[in-house]
Amino acid sequence: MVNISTRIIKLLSSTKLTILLFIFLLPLLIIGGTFPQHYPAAYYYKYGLPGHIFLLLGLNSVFQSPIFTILLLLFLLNILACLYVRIPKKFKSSRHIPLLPLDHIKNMKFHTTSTKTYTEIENYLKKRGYKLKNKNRNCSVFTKGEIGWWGAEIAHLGLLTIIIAGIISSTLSKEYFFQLTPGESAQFSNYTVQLKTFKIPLYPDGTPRQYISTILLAGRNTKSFTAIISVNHPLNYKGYLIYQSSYGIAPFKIGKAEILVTNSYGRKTTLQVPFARPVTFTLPISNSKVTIFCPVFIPDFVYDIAAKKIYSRSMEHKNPALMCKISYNKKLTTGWLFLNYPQFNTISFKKIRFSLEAYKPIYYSGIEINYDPGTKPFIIGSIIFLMGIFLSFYIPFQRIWICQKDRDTILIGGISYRGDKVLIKDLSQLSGGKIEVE
Amino acid sequence: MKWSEIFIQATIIFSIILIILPSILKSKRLSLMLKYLIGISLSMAIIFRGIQTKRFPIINLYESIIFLVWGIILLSIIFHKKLPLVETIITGLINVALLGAATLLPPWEKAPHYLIPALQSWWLYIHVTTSFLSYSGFTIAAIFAFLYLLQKDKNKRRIIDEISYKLITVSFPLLSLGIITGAIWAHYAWGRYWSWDPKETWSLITWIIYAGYLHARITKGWSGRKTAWWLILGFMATVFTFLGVNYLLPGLHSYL
Repeated sequence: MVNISTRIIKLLSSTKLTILLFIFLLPLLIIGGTFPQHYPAAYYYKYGLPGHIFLLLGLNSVFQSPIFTILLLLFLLNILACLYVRIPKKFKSSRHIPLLPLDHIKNMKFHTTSTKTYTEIENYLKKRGYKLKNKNRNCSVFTKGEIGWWGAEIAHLGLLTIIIAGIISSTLSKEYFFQLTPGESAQFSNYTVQLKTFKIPLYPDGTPRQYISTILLAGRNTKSFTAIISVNHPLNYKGYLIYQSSYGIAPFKIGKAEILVTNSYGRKTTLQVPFARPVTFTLPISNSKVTIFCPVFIPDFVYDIAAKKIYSRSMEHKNPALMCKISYNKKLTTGWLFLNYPQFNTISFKKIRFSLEAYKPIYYSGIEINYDPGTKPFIIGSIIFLMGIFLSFYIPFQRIWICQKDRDTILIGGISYRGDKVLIKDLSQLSGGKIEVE
Repeated sequence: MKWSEIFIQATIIFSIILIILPSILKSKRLSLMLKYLIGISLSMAIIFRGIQTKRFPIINLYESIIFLVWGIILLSIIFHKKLPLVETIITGLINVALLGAATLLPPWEKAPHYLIPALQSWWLYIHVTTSFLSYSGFTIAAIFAFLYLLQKDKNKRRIIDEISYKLITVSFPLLSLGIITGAIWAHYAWGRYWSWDPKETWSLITWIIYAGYLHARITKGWSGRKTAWWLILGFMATVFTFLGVNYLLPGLHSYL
């Protein structure tokens, strides 16, 4: 049993597995990073057989595929097993540094002799930040920058945390997206978000400078409050981050419509009609009253003759049509006014004509609400990782052995990981400049 | 002509001198002086561009190429003592090629655009500077890898190999910092720290290639030709992350 678990750990912690995982992971990353992901199937079918194969292999959503998840989990186990094997070994080796015989010290990459006294050397090393790790009557061993020696393990621990954060995010995060026009509200979890105002301040050249939404947040048992969000400045509300995500022209809502009224003598007047609110006007051209109520707007009007159905071909304002109920001279007529094709308007009265002259589009604010418990672990993991690589690359680790060779000479030898400069400088100081480099 | 453009023209002239003079006179001191002059001139170009655009000038291709060259010169000054004289020719040639290309870019690529809302964040400065400095380092490392493959002298090859490694120990942490700060910024701007956007994915591919290089070198003791080829592969991935993703693939990272 012990044998099997040892073999499994050996296999999982092997560099061969790391290389193998990279060999499989890299092509998947290249495919996912190069070819369009999550497009509708029809997009891939356009490319014929290669497109069909691409879909069949699930390459249209590489990062959500089981194979990618399995490879990531194996990579996680690989790092975990490496740390499991290396950390206890390193601990042991840092706690019990052996004192080495003279011959061994002589064969070190950097070694020298000094005529200083044993105590002088010890004091010098301590002053330079070395720590005494082991000692007997004639020999001692010192270390410096040991934290740098742990850099690689710390970096891998950070990487492990980042991968775990990624797993937490992909399994536990929740997303909500709403396109709200001013006054509209939406529900997420136990809370409600309402858009109060949406502003787009502009640069002098007319390009948007910022998208700013004023929102009202309310919970079942919490006091409601107003907040402002803009791009790059989200709001943290009860663990949910509320973002200004996008904007656009609302497809089925408009601001005021300009309705042109023309009488049989060709006299014209324009009425400013609010959307979905009945208003009564006194027409100056006929001195009579008209009530207009326009509750429906279709951005890209289509009438399906066979199904006898009206629908919008797209969300873009390509063929705008406004449905109005107009009451004039005690007669109520309901019909459509078309911006681009007034000849097809379906509202008519004997002595007066109504047509849609213009309208003010209104913008919606795209508000995204995210709950992602993986964010904090990701940031913590990133900090640990960066600390680890900094320690690993920039804090050199040295071990120096000193041994009384004879009455007047002391043999000094040292090893260094990542950067020999500090070690060479210290050995030169002790020996008066003569050091041997093997 | 704007002041920033005048300083870029001056940098091109200094770089041409850097290609010719130090090698003829065999003077490393002169090459260092010229590098300082190029550094100052480019810094002035960046400062004047910043004054002109009223923002940190690193948001389009034109500005990022200038910053990339600035990073190359900075690293070339830092590693000057260790570098062989032939490096001045290569650095000079890169400067002339990159700055020349930047100058010849079409007007819409050079226009001093306003900062779009998505880019209005302090993370922009940390993310972009660290990423571009890492690209600069990877560029020089790849040149040295190429030099290694051409070099016959064993001792010189050892030095070149060592410098390339040192450059990666600077550039790899910078790329890591660039990716991480980009992810934290994405968390604030897009709502999630990782979206598998092509730019993110390709920066991860580049990161994995260099992480592989470091592992091969540190744990397996690889060096020489094998790692030189590795660095050239890493550089190819860097170029694709920098330019290929933006010009060939659609994604959230529509700016550079």
